[in-house]
Amino acid sequence: MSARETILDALRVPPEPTAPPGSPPRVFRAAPNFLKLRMLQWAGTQLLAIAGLAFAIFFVARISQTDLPRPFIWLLRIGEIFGIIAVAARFVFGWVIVRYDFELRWYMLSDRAIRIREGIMTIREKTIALANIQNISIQQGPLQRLLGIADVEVKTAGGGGGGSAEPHGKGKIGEPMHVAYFRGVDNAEEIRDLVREGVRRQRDTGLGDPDEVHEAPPPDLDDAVAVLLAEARALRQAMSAA
Amino acid sequence: MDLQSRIFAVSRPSPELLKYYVLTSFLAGPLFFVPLIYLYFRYHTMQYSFDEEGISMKWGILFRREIMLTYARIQDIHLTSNLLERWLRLARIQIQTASASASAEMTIEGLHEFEEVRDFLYSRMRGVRTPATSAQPVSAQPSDLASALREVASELRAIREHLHR
Repeated sequence: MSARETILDALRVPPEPTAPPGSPPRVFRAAPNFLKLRMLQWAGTQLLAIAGLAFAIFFVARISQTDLPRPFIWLLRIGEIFGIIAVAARFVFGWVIVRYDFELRWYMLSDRAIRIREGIMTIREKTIALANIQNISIQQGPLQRLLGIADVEVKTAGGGGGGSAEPHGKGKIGEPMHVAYFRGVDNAEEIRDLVREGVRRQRDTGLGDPDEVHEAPPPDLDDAVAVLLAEARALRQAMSAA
Repeated sequence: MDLQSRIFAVSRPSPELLKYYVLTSFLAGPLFFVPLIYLYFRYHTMQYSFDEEGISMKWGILFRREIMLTYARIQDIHLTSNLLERWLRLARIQIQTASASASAEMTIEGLHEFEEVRDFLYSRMRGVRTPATSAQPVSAQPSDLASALREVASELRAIREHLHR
């Protein structure tokens, strides 16, 4: 078994999500540049952590030269070792998470619903019926712009002041429930147009009653109105002639 | 058994949920008994019922709570699972209506058949369900209107012919 399979098996990551209701879905994936962006963020965090650790080691080295009581210095040494282990573990673990978080995300779009699956430790699978979508927006930060990627945000009705919805954040568990993101896609405009097209095809507004149905007037009625109009016009002409 | 009758038969969470509750309580450290007592009773009193109209869920001994949701009002359904839950083959189904709350209206937990329940709810919820056919009696009205309009037209014709004479 490869390392990849071992890791994914230990994390009990389920296979690719099943298709949402409706037609066979189009599946979008995050762009390779999204991985680059995440790696950059990871590198930045690690750099800060290592700098902090180096400072701590330097501090301990200096303090152990003073004549403080021995047990105190030993305590500091033990703390130092734990710090090194923690930073090293975060280094490796963070890399694995970023790598698989990129690989294991799916954005599916059928003619009736969107299904978005993301996450490694906490896996979230959101499904939103197109009929319930209230608005769509595209968000792009300067770094994302450089890399040519963007996030497409899809909202349904309902509030939830779940704090600031950080668009290119990590998609925390506390993320507002009425929002879903297509994160790090390189064809944001295309996705937006497809979603809008899908929403337009739904008949109700997503707010009214479930049996809200708009019927076109029957052709019979159009016909009758046309006859009436012709008759009224003829009457007017007859009167002005008289 | 078909999907619907299998879902309707669900009433109690799986015993694995109790294991999950016990394990998560230990995250509270030395105060583990505080969540443990609450979760123990929550598990033992938790009751689901699925019917034609909607779902209801209740729990609690001192402070009881019962939530009822109608399928037709469900708007989003999220499936969330953390590592521990996946080890126990569980997941949470978080159900949202169009209300203003940030958290889920109802969280169905402790079911091994979460995918089935999710798909079932999807087939019943707003926007996915095929539109109701209540428009049938209403469509009788426009043809009434059409015949009335035709009558007006023939009335006008009579006036015009009268004028010619």
